[in-house]
Amino acid sequence: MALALDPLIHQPVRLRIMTVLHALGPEQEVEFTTLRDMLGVTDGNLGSHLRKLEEAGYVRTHKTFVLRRPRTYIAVTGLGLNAYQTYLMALERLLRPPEPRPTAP
Amino acid sequence: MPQDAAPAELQRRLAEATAWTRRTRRHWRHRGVAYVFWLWGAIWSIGYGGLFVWGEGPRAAWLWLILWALGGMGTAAVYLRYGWRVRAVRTDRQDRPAFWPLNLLFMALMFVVRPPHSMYRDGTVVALWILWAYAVLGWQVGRPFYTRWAVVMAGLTVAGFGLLPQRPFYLWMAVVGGLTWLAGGVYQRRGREA
Repeated sequence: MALALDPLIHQPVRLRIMTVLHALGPEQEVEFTTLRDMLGVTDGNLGSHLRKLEEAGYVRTHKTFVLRRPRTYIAVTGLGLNAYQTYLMALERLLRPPEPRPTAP
Repeated sequence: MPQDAAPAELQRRLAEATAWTRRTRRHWRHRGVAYVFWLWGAIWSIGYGGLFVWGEGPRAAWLWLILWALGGMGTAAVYLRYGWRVRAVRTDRQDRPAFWPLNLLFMALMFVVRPPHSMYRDGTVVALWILWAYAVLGWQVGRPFYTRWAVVMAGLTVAGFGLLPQRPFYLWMAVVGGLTWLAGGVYQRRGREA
């Protein structure tokens, strides 16, 4: 079965976001400015990519206060985990060399 | 469509995903706890090493006081650097059936080494109390590694306490206890689990 590459995840910055969140796992969340610094992007750039991922249900964000400062935390959802794993599988399958066809005797 | 992209570009994407996964696990997934483990591994080794070399007395007591202060400051520094950046999604796992039996087990272990009226016993009680806290913490933040590690450490501590005379017990705690802390940090930093 041919797996399609999810265009939402294929975009380079969103791929990095999803990779980081996948590596942290759904039980952990990362703070917005930390993710921004890790990826080396601007606030606006990260915000717009996160909005797209959130609209697709791949990530969830929540705002809270830590040491009296407002912070936004981001975590991957179950749907996002599945989408990311499917994307990686599709990528690996597309890169796999075609299997040699059996030759007639 | 993305699947029509050149193989070189797809290869680049895959390599990037692999590299970012490794980087995230190494630097962030453990939330700095790996460094706390290394810090306390060093403290246990030095503190119990001091007890082994000098025996009980003011010198060892002062050493422990200084080490506790450094450990507290170091742990706070790690939290300020890492703790709020990546954190566990809040979970309440106190309804798990093993939570209370585990608490009782640690309390029972502390009673085994009672009454605490010497550095030998007091130190072991404190060590078990710290391990108990790690075990409970593992439950509460959904990190089974902390719980498993704390149970192993408690087993080693009680085994050393029960089987060894006082002075060799300090050496046991310095070497085996310290190394188990350090190994816990290495394990987490490899991204196996935080």
